[in-house]
Amino acid sequence: MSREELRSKLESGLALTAIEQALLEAYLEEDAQSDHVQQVKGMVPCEPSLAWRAHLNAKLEQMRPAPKRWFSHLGVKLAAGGLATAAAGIALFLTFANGPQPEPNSISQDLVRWHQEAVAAGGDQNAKPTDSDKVLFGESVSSL
Amino acid sequence: MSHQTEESVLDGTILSRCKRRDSEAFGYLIDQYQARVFGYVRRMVPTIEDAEDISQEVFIRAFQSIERFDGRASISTWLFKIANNLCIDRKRRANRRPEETPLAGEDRDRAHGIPDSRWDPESHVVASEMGDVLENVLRSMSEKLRSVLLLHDHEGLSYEQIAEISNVPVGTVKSRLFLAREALQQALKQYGNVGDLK
Repeated sequence: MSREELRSKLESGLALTAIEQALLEAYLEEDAQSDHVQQVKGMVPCEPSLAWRAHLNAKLEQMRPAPKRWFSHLGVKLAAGGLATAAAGIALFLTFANGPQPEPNSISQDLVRWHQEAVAAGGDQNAKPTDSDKVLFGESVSSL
Repeated sequence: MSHQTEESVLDGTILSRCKRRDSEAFGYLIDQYQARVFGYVRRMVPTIEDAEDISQEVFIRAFQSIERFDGRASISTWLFKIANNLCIDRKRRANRRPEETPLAGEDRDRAHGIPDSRWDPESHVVASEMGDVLENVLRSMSEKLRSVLLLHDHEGLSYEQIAEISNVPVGTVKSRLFLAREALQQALKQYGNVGDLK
């Protein structure tokens, strides 16, 4: 079957036999190296202009979701900051509330002992001060 | 680098970023394909304004639907399919309104990308004439034949890819390619630029 016959059959829309299909593929292979196919392959590329690209970029930019307004970002940041501060405060309070009690200093120990001795002495309001009382009020025993 | 190699690199590294709406990655995708898409569309529609509008629409639609792109086809197949469908839509709309014919020489005046040939005017004239002849022959073909010829012989796509783009069986693609090449050869012979090819 010649090229013309094959072309006529294809143009008329008739189905090809298996042999004709094989022949078609052979012609396609053969044509791939021909001059006219090479000319199509080497046609000058069409580059779009920079204005075209800028216009496309502008269109795509319009399609992107708009960024949130600055004050909504500020509100979120303030709320987050407040929450963080509150959490830090609670943590600090819990740490010190459950922590070890401070040891009483010497003055408070003396006050307690003096009170206990006073109670043991019978609750006499006119009782003389003990040595510890003198020490407590800044007088040394030797000076009395 | 061949189209196929470029695509495999692009498919692997850029596509996932594009799906996450990464602007930079999508810009890179446009960089890679804009000339091919624009060139194809430019040869499928009569005016450069239509070509600019349609090729922009190709990338806008790609941007809108890239999350649904499953990667079974290559990116080029996907983009050319969008482009082909838009060209068909444009043709249908044009058929419903009066014919638009570009002014003679309009495109040549707009072509700012032509290399400067002032130092070799003769070769430029020959190349330009040959190019013009080829473009005219392509324009004289039906859209179906022109599309297959451009996608296979200019873009280097496979029969299967073109079948996917054109939504026709592979056998139909081969038949159209054979007819397109025959038409091209006959037309070029008439212009006397090719001579005895076979």
